[in-house]
Amino acid sequence: MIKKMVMDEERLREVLSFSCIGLPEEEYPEVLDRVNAVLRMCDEMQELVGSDVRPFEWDVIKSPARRKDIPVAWDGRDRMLDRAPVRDGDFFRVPRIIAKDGTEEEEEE
Amino acid sequence: MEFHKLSALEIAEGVKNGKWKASEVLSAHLERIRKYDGRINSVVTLSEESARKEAEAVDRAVAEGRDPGRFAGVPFLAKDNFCTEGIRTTCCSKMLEDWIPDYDATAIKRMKEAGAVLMGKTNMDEFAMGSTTESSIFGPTLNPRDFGRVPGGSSGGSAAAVAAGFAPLALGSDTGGSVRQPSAFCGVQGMKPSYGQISRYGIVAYASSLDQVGPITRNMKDMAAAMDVLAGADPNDTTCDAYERPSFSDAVLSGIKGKKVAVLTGFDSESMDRPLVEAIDRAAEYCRAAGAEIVKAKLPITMKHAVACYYMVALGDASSKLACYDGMRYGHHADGRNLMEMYKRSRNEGFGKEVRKRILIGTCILTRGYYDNYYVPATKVRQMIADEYAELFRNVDALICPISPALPYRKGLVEEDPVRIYLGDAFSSAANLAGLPSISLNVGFTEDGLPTNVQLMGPRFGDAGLLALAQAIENEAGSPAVADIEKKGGCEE
Repeated sequence: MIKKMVMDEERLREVLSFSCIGLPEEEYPEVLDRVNAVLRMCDEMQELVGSDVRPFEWDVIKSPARRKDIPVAWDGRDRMLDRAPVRDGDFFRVPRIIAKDGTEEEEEE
Repeated sequence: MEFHKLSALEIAEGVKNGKWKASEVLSAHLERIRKYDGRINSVVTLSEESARKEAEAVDRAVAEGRDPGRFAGVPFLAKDNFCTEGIRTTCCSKMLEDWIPDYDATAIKRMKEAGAVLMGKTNMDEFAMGSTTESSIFGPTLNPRDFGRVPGGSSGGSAAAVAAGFAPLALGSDTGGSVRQPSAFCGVQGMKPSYGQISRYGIVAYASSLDQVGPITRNMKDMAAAMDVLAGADPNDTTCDAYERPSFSDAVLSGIKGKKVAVLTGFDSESMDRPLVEAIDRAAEYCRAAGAEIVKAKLPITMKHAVACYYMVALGDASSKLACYDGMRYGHHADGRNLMEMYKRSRNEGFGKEVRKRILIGTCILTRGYYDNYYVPATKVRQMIADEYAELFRNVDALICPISPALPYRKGLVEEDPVRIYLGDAFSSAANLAGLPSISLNVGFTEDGLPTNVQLMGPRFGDAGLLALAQAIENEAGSPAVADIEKKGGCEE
């Protein structure tokens, strides 16, 4: 049985929050139209599949050798530091996100 | 010497036997890019300094009598989602605008080890999400065959560059047709090998269960040589199979006498552009002339559900893959008053409109309710599509079908009718869903000079046989020439 689902504004707000994406409210109708057009394209797939159909998985002829799980010497330290966007001695300087007292703030360390 | 008209293998042959130098070939190609790419906009980063060093190393190897490699001195370009050591890799997105990787993708490494010279990076739809190469932060790429049309996408920069004679070979990535459709639009040859044929290590992912590296060339012998260089197991990519590959360059010459080739029927050919329907008939005739038996085939599940299935799987994968770009762990950072605001501002500023919308759709279908009713059925339909092809290839050696229902789109269509653009993936996306090898092969041009390509498909890991089929057709149809950009006014800087 086909369960046609429609995305409404309330669900869109929820999804925006899940995906950490902001969207101006004037763009809501366009996005809802687009999402619902894609969902309509997919409705008929539900009718095709029964519970006995297995979900897709890849098969292999021969699995490749994996990397050995051992520590390896790495000499890229200085090269990486040279490419740091903001370097402070032997450290990368990054924006402060969470304040020391546990409250969140925008100030840079 | 018109180096831009030579194939990759002709260039390598000349370098190896001392007829010309790798540095000379490189200079000629860089000059052509500088002269003509101002308008086409296919190359977003030129790495001239490192390219000169690589070319000089090849020339030294030749001078000292060492083997300079299969692709000695062959200049090549790579889509801007391949990691390249010391060369910025942006995915044509503000999110990665200034990112310079400190390692080469395995595909890049193998090309360099074979003596090829990386000239730079090519334009693409942002994060490979698109079919027109119009959603790049570097601006759109134009189609070298017709400047009023798009080059296709998402590897539109790579296809346009090969068509324009900026390089005899370029690398792209193909998630739902992103190598093959732009190859069709630009009138060159493009291949998506079997899933597991070439390592994806160092490729910025769009949808990992679908992505595959693909070469773009102007003839099939170059394509087969590229496959010899690129294919092979890699401990850094456990999805890359370790089976023993045949020589693709030997296979491409093996002919198709006695092979059974199916031509797809049962789709709405009336709504397709007529020259593309005629191209299918022409390709079938060429196969028959080369000694193959032609039969008809239908793929009802694939034709009805492939696009929907593809978008469910691809966008679900993409929303998950792109979650790491949060302004803190990866990518563009924007300050915020709190953690959530920082995430949102970073992602809003970093991602373009199309990427944000695809992430939203992908997130939606992975949430409660939608996951069970849309995503899970899509993974089952995907298996049914793979089974449908497996059944077909028990009876035939290969399939000929369209790669795109339309000739190259005019610029701007993506804004007018995005769902029509999505439906353009109807023929190309099935190869990614089922992991099959697929080639977009040019079989001529319309009277207006627009390319007409067809799609060839084969069984999984049947890449060698598919190359032989493509070569047999190319023997009759001819390989496409470099686009006449000089006469189209492409010389404006």
